[in-house]
Amino acid sequence: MPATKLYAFLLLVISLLSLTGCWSMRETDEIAYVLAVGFDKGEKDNLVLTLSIANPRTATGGGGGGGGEETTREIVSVETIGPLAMLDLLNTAIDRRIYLQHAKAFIFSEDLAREGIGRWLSALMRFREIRGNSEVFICRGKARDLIQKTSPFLELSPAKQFELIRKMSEIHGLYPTTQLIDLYLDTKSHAKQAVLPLAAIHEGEFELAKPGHERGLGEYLAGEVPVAGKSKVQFTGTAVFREDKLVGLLDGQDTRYFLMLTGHFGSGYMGIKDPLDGSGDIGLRVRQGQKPKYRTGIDEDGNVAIDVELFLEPEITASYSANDFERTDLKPILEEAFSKQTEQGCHNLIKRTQDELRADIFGFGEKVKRKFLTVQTWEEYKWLERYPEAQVNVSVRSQIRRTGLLMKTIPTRQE
Amino acid sequence: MIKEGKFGPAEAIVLLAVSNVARIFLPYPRSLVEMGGPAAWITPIGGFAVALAGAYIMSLLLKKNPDNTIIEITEEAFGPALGITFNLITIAFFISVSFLFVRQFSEALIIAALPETPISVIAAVFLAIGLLGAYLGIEAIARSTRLTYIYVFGGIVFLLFALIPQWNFDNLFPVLGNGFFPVFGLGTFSTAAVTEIILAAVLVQSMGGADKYVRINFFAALIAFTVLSILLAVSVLTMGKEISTETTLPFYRLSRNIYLGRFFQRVEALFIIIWSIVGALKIALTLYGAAVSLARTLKLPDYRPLIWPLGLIIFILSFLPPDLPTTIKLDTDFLRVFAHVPNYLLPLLLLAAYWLKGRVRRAGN
Amino acid sequence: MNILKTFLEMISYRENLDREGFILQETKDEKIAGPDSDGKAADKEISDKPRAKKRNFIKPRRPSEINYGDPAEKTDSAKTDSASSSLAENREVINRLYGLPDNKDIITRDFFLGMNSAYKGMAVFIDGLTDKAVQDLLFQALMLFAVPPDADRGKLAKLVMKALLPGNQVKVISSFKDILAAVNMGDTVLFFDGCAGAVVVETKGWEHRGVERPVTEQSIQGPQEAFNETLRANTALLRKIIKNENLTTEFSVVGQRSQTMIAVMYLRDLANPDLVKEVKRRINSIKTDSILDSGVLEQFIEEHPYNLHPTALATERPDRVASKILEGRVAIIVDGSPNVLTVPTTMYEQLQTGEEMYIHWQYGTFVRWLRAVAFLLSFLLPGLYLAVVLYHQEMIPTELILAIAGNREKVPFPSIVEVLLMELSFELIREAGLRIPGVMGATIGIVGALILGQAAVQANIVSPILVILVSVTGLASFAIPYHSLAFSLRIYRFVYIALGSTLGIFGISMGLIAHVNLTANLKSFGVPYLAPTGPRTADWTDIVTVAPAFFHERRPDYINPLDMTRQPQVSRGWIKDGGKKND
Repeated sequence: MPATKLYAFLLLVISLLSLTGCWSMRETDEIAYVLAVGFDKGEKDNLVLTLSIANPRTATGGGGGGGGEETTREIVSVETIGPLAMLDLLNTAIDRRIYLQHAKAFIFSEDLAREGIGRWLSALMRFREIRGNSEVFICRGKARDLIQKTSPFLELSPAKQFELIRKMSEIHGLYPTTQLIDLYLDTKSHAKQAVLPLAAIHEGEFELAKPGHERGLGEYLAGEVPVAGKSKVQFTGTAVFREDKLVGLLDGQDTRYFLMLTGHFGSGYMGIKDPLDGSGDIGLRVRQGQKPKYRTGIDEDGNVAIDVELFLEPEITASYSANDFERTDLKPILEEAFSKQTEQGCHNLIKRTQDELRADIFGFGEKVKRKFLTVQTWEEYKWLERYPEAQVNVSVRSQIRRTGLLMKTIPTRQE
Repeated sequence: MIKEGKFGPAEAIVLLAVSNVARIFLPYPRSLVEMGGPAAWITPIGGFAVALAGAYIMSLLLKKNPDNTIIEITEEAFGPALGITFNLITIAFFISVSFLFVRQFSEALIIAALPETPISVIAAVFLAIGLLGAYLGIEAIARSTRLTYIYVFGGIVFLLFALIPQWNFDNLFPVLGNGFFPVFGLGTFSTAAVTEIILAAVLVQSMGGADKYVRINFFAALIAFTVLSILLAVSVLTMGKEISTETTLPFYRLSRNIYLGRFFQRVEALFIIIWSIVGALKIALTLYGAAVSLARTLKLPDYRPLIWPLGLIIFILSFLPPDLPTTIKLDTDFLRVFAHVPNYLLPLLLLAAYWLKGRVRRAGN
Repeated sequence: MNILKTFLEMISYRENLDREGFILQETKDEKIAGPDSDGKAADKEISDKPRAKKRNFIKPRRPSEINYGDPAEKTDSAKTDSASSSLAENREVINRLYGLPDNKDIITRDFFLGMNSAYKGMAVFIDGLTDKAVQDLLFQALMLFAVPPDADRGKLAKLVMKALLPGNQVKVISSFKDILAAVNMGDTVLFFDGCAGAVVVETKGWEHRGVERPVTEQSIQGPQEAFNETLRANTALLRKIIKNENLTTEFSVVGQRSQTMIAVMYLRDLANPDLVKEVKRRINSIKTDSILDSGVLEQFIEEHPYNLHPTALATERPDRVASKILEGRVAIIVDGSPNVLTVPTTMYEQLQTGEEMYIHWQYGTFVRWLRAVAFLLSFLLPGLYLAVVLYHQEMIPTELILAIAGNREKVPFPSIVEVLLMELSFELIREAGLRIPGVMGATIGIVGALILGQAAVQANIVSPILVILVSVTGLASFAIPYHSLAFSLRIYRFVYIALGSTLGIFGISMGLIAHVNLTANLKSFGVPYLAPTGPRTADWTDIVTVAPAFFHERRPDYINPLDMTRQPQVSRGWIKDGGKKND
């Protein structure tokens, strides 16, 4: 009989524990799931934070939903002294506990970024709910507008949108991707400066965007790309940081060169003029065949020379030229021309980062670092200050592997 | 004679390895990165060599008295008064390890998983499981370890290698990190501070005697130091030395960074499972070590009556440090230094005592 | 005060907990033959002498002093135990012992041997337990064909046995204790006037169920016979499979009132003698009034009856028992129970059906891995769900957590109530489905679950994901082949629900480690319950992964049989090198 009583006693203890316990427990329907956070400048030192909060009722799917059109998310803004102070402030207006574990994107406005985002970052990194692998974007204009106008094109949830955008970078290379932890690491690093993808709102039709005919495929910044339709948010270009401050913007084409030089370029369409007679454009789908090879040298005075070797694999996707570049004897000419063009682009970009931006966004410092034995000597060398003087040579090799479904170009019959 | 149960070398190896690996879940690796910088992964190599040497010295002692554990040997060599003092130091060491681990594991869990739960509850649960394990005996602990080690090490390896896409080998440079002395000197001193040499010497009769002692210790240390080294390397590879130095729980931060696609991310809960299992095993083991050493010192027929009071002592001690930074400081400044006394100093002194005794005897002849 | 006392005793020290000091020792064969693994040392320990001291916090009633003894025995032993030479006296004793003439089952029949009134005889038997045809033959032989001899009347019984009776099992006994036992078992006892001995003729023939298909342990491939309630039929089923002179059946009788026969079967040249001795020792030490089923016996002989996990394996399939006996285990058959116990057992064995060996090893492996998943799901899933949903929302992909949250919007209960509600209804359906008679039972089970789940979702009492969760858990629990193990996991499930809802994943993992600790501490007849993984022994061919049949060269190491070798290294004689690369 004591056994029964003992078990009853234990059961009682356990059930009491479950009544008094549950300290950190939160029911799923008592939480407001934040999907994206926008950072804007407020009055004085304040921040204006804009939160995109998911509406779980719409996530249950088509079946039972009904009851009129509900938005998939609610937008709320608050002006606070810091990114985490907002939690308490917002909870004066929102009955559910603000929950940041599912926040996929942190969007900083350009104005804020130019003043520096370092102090906000360290608060974010310290807080346990913020995830290091959230995406970070820089927004031209107000982040609040961006979040308000983001209407996911096909997605039910904006969370998916931000994660898929990350993947798109590999497809076209028009913007880099940066996760929060990488950004934080780069702001602390002695070898590299941070970059962030650029986003903006584009309203209206084509005429609002800058004329497209003079530009190549990628020479846009976000907000200028002539896309019309429901999807108003655009991602193109790169925001370049020095320390934690934004110092300049790169357009889509420069971003591609940047990605090539760091080895993160996936693929993308590019164009080139006919190298033989300039008769027409040739469209290429370019893939980066191998990671770039770096060779660094450092002499006694601390002068650095860096050789970067790129290897690209274009594929002919369109040809408006009269010349038959599929031919094995003409192909090298095209390859050569494309290599030259890319080399020039890379060279210009490096020049710009050295002279105008003075920011080693490529992480050349990471390679130079290998020449040092200890951390102390490396940090005393102050690479980031010396980067503008470094000698960087880029050489590009390209190899046209395939020509699409056509093996020969017969000129269009001219009447 | 205390009935302790027996288990085989395979179980002994994983038991000691899991016990040794427990420290990688705590803020400890952070201090190594701070010490060594990008070369933090080299620091365990020196510690491994020293630990092996220590295990060898200990085995020399144990072989002299194949039927006894280190507790009886100490008393025999030093005589009752000094011997008991040294044994009490050993017991104090076990208790320190236990209470610091209870505190650190509980704090870490609050940071990582249960932010609003009182620490007393978590510490009490940890200790309850430790008490249960120690009460059931070393055989049960060893078998449980044998059953869980695949998941523990498999999980660790999985968590570390899931980060491969984020590895940046440039982070390992400059090669020598913060310099030769921090990496090889301080690093060795810190990583060599293990619990397992003395623990294995206390459990030596259950593990199948002194003959297998070195072999068991070698493999256990090999596994544990390799894991520590890989963790340090992965931490620096993934997060760079800056964040690795800053972050309180490097392993936890790493597991949060796993991103293998849209679906496969946020696996830190898996990490919490491994973490708490290792913590519970470690606490049970040190509690058992303290209880058995005390029972042997006091020549009691059974260790079990000591578990409850020792558990209470550990529970109370674990709340004495006022905050987490103090606890971590205690761990690095006090425990890692103290660990050298029973693990390395004691066997050396014992050997010296034996040598002196032998000389005296020879002189007498 | 009892609770306080119990609690104090729980935390205070008691000298010895090893109630059973029995540890299965290694046999000679192994010591010579075994290239043993390292981990095996674990169960080789030399035990202290088994101490008799019992745990005192629960005192089982020890009926040793109380005499449950057979009333017949009592009165009989008071007077005289052996039959007298006077028929009238014997009749009187029989009448008294069986309470005749009130007791109508007992038939006493008088006859003259060989139609000669000088030789009076009396037959005693129980109606319904005897075979009428055999009895007709018996009386025919005695009354019609027998020629009354001129022999000494005192030796009549011997003479009848040797010369006159055609029955197949006939013996002469004189003790009333034996006579009663024989009559109770369905034999016919013949008394002769003037002779002090009685002739016992085997005429057993009671009504019983035939050998049928297994009901609870169905299989697709493999023998389709099941044990029934008759002890002899069960032993015969086993003997039919193992045609070996070394197969030994030993009987003991347990239960002072029910006098239940219990058979212990093992292979004399294989089973570890210590094991057999221990099994017999435990069975013979039982003092109770009745054993009605092997499940009762299991509780009496288990080492750890307070742990939820069963440490004896009950099965109704003769082929499974045979395979266990052939590994060196011991089978315990209880008369009147269609489930046969085999000991020692391990948890891995309880997760097997035996069928895996009859099909291709790949299929067997697949099924067992599936079952391993089911094993984990059956007790972890609801607790894990609660832990994740209440404490670790970050673990779930955003879309899924939003879906879960969305579904829960309209549900008024906390998650824990939802889970308990669904679990409770599922357990109800399960229990009711078992009890509802006939064909309806199965229908109620499935339809009930579907309708209940659907209706509960529509009424916003539970969220749809929970219905899926509870059904999967239920399915997983049904996939566990051993009923007792499934039962223990069903109960553990609620423990994990409590842990998961109070401490999240941390609670679950603490529960896991405590569970593992407690389970690793279990022993079944001196063999660790989690062998061969905790402690690790040399076997690998048959834990979760099934190796091909020709790889099963050694018997399980932890059973320590007298002969370790099951088959030679090269078991497929038709292949030159045995089909194995090396070794």
